[in-house]
Amino acid sequence: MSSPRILAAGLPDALRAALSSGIAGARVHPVSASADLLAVLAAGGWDLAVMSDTVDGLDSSLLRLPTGFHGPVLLLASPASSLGISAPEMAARGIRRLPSTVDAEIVVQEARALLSIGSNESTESTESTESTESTESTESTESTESTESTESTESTAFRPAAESEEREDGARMASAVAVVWERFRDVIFARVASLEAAALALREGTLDGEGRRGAEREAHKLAGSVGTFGFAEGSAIARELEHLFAGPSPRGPADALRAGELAGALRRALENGPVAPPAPARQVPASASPERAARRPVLLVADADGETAGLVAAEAGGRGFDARTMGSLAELRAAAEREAPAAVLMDIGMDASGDALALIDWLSSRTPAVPVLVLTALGSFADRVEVARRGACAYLAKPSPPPRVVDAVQRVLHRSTEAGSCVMAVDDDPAVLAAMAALLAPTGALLHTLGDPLHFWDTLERVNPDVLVLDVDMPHLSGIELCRVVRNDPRWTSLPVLFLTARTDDATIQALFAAGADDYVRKPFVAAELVTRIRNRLERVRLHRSLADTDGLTGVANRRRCEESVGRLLHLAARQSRPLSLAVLDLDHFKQVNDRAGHAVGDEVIRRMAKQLTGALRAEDVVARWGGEEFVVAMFGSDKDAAVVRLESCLRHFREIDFAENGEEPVHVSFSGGVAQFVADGADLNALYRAADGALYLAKAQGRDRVLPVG
Amino acid sequence: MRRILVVDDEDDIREVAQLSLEMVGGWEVLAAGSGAEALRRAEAERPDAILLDVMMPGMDGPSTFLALQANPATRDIPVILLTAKVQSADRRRFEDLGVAGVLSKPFDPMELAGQVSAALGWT
Repeated sequence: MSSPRILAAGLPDALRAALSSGIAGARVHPVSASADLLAVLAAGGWDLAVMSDTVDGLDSSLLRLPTGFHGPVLLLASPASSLGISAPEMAARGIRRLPSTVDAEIVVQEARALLSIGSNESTESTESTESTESTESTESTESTESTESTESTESTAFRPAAESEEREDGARMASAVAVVWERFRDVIFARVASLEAAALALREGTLDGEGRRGAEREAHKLAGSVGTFGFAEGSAIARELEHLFAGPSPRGPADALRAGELAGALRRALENGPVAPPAPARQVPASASPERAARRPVLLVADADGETAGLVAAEAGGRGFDARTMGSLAELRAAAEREAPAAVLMDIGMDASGDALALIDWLSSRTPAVPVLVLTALGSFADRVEVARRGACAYLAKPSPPPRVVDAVQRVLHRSTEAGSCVMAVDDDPAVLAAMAALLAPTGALLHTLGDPLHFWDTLERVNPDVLVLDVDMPHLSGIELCRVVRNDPRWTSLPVLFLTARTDDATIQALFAAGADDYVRKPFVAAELVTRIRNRLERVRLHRSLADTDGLTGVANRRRCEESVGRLLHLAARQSRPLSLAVLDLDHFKQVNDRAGHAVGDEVIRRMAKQLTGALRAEDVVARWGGEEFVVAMFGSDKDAAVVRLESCLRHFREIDFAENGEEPVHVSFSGGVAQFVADGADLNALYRAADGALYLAKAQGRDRVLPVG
Repeated sequence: MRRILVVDDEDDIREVAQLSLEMVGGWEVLAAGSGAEALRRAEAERPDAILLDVMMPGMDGPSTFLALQANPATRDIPVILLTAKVQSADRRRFEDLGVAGVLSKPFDPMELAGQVSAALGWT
């Protein structure tokens, strides 16, 4: 191996230097302890990863290694830490464990031994990293001559790379960025949803100054961020939205319409996925024992390009699918009949006939319908429409990196098994209602039908649907009037409304959207199209709900929910003229706790902090983990002096806790805090947070371990 | 090795910046999610440079920069502002603060490290 690429995660400088100088030509890439190691690993292209167990988030899931990383791992871990993964499993995954106290020389020796195993990987062997040796061995028996004073290639400053290397780095970066995108896409789509909501409010004339500024801010953030993920078009659209929402003047109906269009265009631009080079091709070892294979969902991958199909199948195999590849539509159809697949992924460019479309028809008309994802280099808009009309669930442009393709499969499957959603349909034609019931049955969604709009309101409140489907033309009350009524009630402003309409002239369509419709389907409707559109709406509802979530580590509110809850408390405080205090709390020297006592202890400190706070405060108060080691607490009915007293008492108890594990030196942790009071120190969450954060800064400056009020 | 502190309230952008500066720049990256956290980390860890987002809730980029300047411990750390503002008047205003550079959002993850080292005169 001429110049092995070594990932060095959380290693001390001296050890990194030893690796650089001890291995001829090695390129050692440092990654700090808090970096997103998973994304860096998944980016691939590493010949060896040397990781310390002090790295943030290093646990069994990380050690089970992301798809994309297939090199050996040298793990420096404290002998006491279990890491949640057994020694045999580590060996099977090519992980060699050394005590963290071992000499640098031994680490270098082990790294060299592992690299010589790794260099066999270029042959097509799929089991190259399988090691049967004891993982506890700290001495390599392999004799390797020491290469003294080879020039360190560790880059300490930016230096333009050679062209081919740069291309490789570009692909690596693209897939690392794609991993980050997948993790944050829900958050970003929530931003888009808030812009859509603002556009709707603008149309209805209910967007106040604060809402407009909020929309401007969200658009500004999106303009500045999505381009970084490769969505140049999305960035430009967001920029236009930012300008549209900017400025004090009230906006006319043309601007309102434009805002809605732009928000929709932004969503579509982001849904198409960023333009990125395909991930570097790597052979993925086939895994899983036969008895497990029997229970795994079958994914059929049909692509004339066997290599693409193989890569996708390998990626899917790594995520628990039983993936089969085939090279023709005929084979695909035969396999679909035989296997009852969970999903089908097909390249519609593979046969230059209409057969592909006919096959999609056939697959989506089966009971239960087989979800179809279409992968194609064709990519004209007409294709997309045609494919969607026939019921395909997703459309992916070629080339897409295999991880993204399998992500899409998983999303579609999650969606199609999304049972318990509730759809309410109002139509005076019983045949239409019966047809809808038949269509929606396989999706697992519950359908409530209503033939007479006169009972509409009672039914709506009782059923509390996730999606409302309305017929435009009904006796007594038209769908448009119903929709307007629904939209005028604040409880139902976010309920998705989908219209069925026989008339698709401009005036009717405009009337639908003006009344607050989200989407419409032409009558007589194409079954697959209707189901797809309802599903899309249901998925958005689910997305919205998942956002209002709790913090995974502590179970207290996350930042988003905190913002909502505090917003409500502030309204309440203003209405009832009661005091409210907001505290920002931050654990003292938390990094040192992590460094000295390990991350398991660090996590426990954060959990206990959350517990201490929720235990000491009242039910109507809000406790939230704002991020990292920072908490936000809102205390309803307390002025800041009372709040400080309560938090000081929390602090007294908290600093008594010993977090040390099995008889090691005691570990005590304190926190610092700042408390601001509504309305004296700020009238909204932002202002209160800012004021409290300032007081927190003072508390830290005065020696930590204290809670200070503002002023 | 050079250490750079990245300050952005948006977790996604901060992570991509971190990836970029680590993978392309080869630097050690420290991260902060707010201006106040940036002040604390800058004082405690004395990075070689700070990449600071302009628009953040609470203390924004320019006021964080001024606070860094007011503290003798952090006064000499060069600061680069990262902004999604495109108007040249805004950029001029930021440059007039005395920062080492103003970079645009969105940034290309492959380019960011090069732009940062150019602004800082790092070779």
